Amino acid sequence: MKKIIFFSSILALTFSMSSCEKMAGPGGSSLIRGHVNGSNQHTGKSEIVQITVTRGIELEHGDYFILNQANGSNFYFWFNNTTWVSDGDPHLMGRTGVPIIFTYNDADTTIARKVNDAILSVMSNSFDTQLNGDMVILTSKAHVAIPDPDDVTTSFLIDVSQQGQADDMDAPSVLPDEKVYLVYGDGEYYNESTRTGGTGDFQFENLQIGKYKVYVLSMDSVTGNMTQKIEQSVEITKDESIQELSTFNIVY
Amino acid sequence: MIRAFGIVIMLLSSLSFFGQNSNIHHWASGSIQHNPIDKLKIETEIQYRLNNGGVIGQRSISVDAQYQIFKPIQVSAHYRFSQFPNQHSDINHEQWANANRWGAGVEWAVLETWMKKPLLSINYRLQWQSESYLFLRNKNIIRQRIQIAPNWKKQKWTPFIQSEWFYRTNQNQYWLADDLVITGGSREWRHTGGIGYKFNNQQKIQLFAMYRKFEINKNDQLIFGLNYNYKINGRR
Repeated sequence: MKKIIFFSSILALTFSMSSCEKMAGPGGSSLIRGHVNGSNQHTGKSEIVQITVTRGIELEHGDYFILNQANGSNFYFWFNNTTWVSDGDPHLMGRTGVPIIFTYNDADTTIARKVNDAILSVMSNSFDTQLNGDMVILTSKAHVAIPDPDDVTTSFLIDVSQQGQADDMDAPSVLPDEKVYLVYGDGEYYNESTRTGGTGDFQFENLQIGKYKVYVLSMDSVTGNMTQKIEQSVEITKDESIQELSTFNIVY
Repeated sequence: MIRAFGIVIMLLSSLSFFGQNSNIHHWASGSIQHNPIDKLKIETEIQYRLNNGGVIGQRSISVDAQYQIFKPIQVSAHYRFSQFPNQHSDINHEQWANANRWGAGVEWAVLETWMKKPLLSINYRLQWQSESYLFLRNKNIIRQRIQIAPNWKKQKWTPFIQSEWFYRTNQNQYWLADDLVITGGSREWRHTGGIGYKFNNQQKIQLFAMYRKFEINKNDQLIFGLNYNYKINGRR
């Protein structure tokens, strides 16, 4: 029976030895802390211009309208009736002239197509165009503010239906109440999370010796959603220690 | 013997009635005791703690050694390996979380200091223990217990009452700027009343009811327990 006691003790000690292994996770005395800065990104808008044209009978040889670009390379589009022998080009200084050949018999849809072709021939880098009956709709490819167009001598209706606006980003500043995620070891999913305080600081307490990953979410530049991980790895090597992370800079 | 079993069954029936309450828990244990020499007692125990509905809340195996250094004073050493349902299985994918406890204590038979054969036995025990968990902070605890029982040498029945206070020396742990602050605090009271029945020199059982009053939360527990003890060299 003494052997029973002896073996029971050995058994208990064996359990003891097998269960003393520590791993990354809660239950320790160490601390990971860091700081989150954020920059607010204002997403700009494309400029949208709607040109409603007239029939050819309502145009005169030499009529013109003007369109501008953000880079300062601007154009005037003038209508050239080839039956007229006089020079209809208004020869505007500081602009490039683009002739559009027309006849008085042209329907409004034909004029719209000719205007569309003329614009694409010189401004395809700046605008996407769309034909819709007697309307040509221009959408700027970039988020930029563009000086307004004008119908000048034509009877076209030229409206800026959406004013262009450039993208903008504020200077980085502390980001309170931002969620911060902690992953134990080599895990893929977060195990705990916290939020930054009023000063942008955060901390995870009571952690054991081991490897950890900390991440915050930033705006994805393509989708505009808050899905891009900004991650840092850190290792706690001794108890009652503090691990300071580099500042997280995110865009929101 | 038959009367004893009858009483045990009666008590266990009452447990199932009280078990309808979510704060009723059941502890069951079996232990083997061996006295290699007169003054040394070694006891190995396996214990199951069941929550309401019979779900295992804890299971453990422990080894205790008690040695009487002189008449009213006894010292002890303690080890316990226990397992709990793992609350962090997402980390290590294990069903059970392990814990190891080491402890040491001293027990004083108060009245026997001055009286040879007192009718009442009043024992005071002071015990220190440290328990480490895989995903919880270590529990470093000082326990103080006082137990009162009659000295009925020729009776098979022995009632007892006891109260025990738990003080956790690392009850609170938090960071204040760059400093880790650890403070102690009262953790728990255990008030127990029970009765032991000695079948013979080798076998005995103990039935008890215990009220666990926690100082750190409001989840107080009422526990009904049964322990079976077998003494190997029962003639000593």
